Amino acid sequence: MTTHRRRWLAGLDLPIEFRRGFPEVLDIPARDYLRYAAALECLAPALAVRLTSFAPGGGDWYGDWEEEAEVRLKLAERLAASWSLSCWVDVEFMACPGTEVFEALLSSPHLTRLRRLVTINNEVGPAVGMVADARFANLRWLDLGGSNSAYGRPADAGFVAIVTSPHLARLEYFDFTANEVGDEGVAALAASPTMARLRSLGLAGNWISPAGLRALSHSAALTSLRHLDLSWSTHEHKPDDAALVALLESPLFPA
Amino acid sequence: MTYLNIASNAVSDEGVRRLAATSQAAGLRALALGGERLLSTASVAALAASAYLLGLRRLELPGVTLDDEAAALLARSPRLSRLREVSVDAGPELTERGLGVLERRFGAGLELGR
Repeated sequence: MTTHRRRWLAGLDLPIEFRRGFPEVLDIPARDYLRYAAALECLAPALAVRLTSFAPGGGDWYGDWEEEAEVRLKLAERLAASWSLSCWVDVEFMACPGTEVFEALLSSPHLTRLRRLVTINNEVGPAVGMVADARFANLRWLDLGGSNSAYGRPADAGFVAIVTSPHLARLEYFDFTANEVGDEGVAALAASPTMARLRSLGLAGNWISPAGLRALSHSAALTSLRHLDLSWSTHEHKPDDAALVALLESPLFPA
Repeated sequence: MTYLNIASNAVSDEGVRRLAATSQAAGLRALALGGERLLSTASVAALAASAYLLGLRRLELPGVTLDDEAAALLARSPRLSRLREVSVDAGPELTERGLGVLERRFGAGLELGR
């Protein structure tokens, strides 16, 4: 691999990780992806992309804020229009996208094969709910932790849109840490037949009271759940002994 | 269920005692409790004596300040023989002796906060 890597990449000096002999994982600023998209498609389309920046210079840019936001958005819109997104199965936002860039990129009609989407501390806010769309029907892994933004944190509405979406029935891993889901959202999750494949659920740092745990304990839908994080509730009435016992006595903890 | 993290909520020694006493906890391989200064050595004793946590590999007890007695309970529990990783906080009552007991038992698997 070391011997042939340079020839494979045809002189492209890009941080590409090879898997099973093929160039597959790409760490790259959005600007550079667009610059090299055609060349990459000739080599082998990148399947996993870690977007390290949306800045027009490729790295951090500390110019005029409004001007930068406009350029970032245009960059995201150009990226969203790229046919090559139809090859992406794994996207990780290494740089914080913010609401506008996230919306622009996830509105791409080409982004239909994603199996894994990770965007932690993303400043997207309630717009994370747009993941509930039919274009994301292949998602297995979804990490939307820490989505606070100028528009607030995503709460029950966005969460419920995701966990009840008929398009997300393949989801196995879902992290929604440090957002604002309350008992109503948890109850919707507990009753959702589309979450039957969910194996791992991260709800640390949400607004969950004992009622939320009781709702979970009545769930007949979360039959695959093996990994549950309910720590650090921000609710003034945190889950207590009785709620824990109800959970332990539920079908989520088969004897 | 193989992993449960319910730390930093309002679970007390009584809740931990109930958890340790239920057969429905038998699938747990990793468990995180504590964090709100509600748990004492009584919780550690209940976990160490549990007949159902035999498969536990990792235990996190943030905010549970261990003393020598609690350290010995954790380290010497025959029922927690599969426990490999523990994350605990050292209390003022944890002496070099108690620390040594933990280090000998868990080695690199010991994460000690202060």
